[in-house]
Amino acid sequence: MENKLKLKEEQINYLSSFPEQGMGYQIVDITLKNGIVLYNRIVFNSSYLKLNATEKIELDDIIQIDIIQNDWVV
Amino acid sequence: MIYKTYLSDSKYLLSIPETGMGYQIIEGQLTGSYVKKRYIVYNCDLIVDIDTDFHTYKKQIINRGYASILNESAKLNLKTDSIRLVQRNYQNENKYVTESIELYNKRHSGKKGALENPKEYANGNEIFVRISAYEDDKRIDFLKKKLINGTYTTTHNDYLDCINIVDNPIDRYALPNDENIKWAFYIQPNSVDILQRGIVQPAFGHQGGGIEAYFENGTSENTLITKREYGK
Repeated sequence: MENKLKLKEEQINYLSSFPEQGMGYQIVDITLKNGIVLYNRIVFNSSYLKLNATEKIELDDIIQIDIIQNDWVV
Repeated sequence: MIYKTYLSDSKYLLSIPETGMGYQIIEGQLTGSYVKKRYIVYNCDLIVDIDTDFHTYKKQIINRGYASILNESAKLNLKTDSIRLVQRNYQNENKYVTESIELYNKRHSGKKGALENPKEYANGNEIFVRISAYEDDKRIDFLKKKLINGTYTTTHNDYLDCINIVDNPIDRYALPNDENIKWAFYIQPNSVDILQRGIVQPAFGHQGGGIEAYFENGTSENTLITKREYGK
């Protein structure tokens, strides 16, 4: 089972307003309140943030989610 | 598009590492925008959009010369404090694979992803399928029975191929999840609905090769015709 975090309803609604990058997922940057930015993270169904296997992030740690508009093509 | 940097941005770019020899991949926000976009910067002063025309831009630079292009390009008005270096992500490097051969188990390779292909109207009869691990799939407006804007599906034919040959949908559609696909949502767009179709490109360590169809503006109301368990 994947390690994942269900986002808050307001975050889900926010992500739902943006296009997908592929069927069922979006790519985002997550800014944490300690200033760390997690780049290129996957969110499933606009709802579930995929975390690394041992990663522990609380919902309240997240202060910003930025959708990546154009996908990675290089 | 091809742009050049403002001097302040160029100085900043000089202060951060290269992504590869002679170039940086950055993301940043345009002044007045809240959306990040990604760019390739050559030599800290020539900025190129990373979009479906990227290879055209590259050819322009090669054919007409770096100095000439730089001289003619407008400056890109990025918010300097929004500029960040992006780490290379090898998972998706094969986006622009060009060969075009059909592989075993009815997959396709090369060609183009949906976003790189022209828009077309649905014919009103064709059925598309969105597979999902989630019964409450957020890209479907269950009240209006439609896809919301910016949603991917596959074609019914490709879905049937995937089922009939017992292909792995995670690999076929290059999905980043390890969860089982449980649901299939059937969509029959109206003839006024617009889509782009293409081949799923390799990503996330998966081969891709399925058909993808992208509905930038979603679909009309009552185009969700049924929901079934995956494979049923």
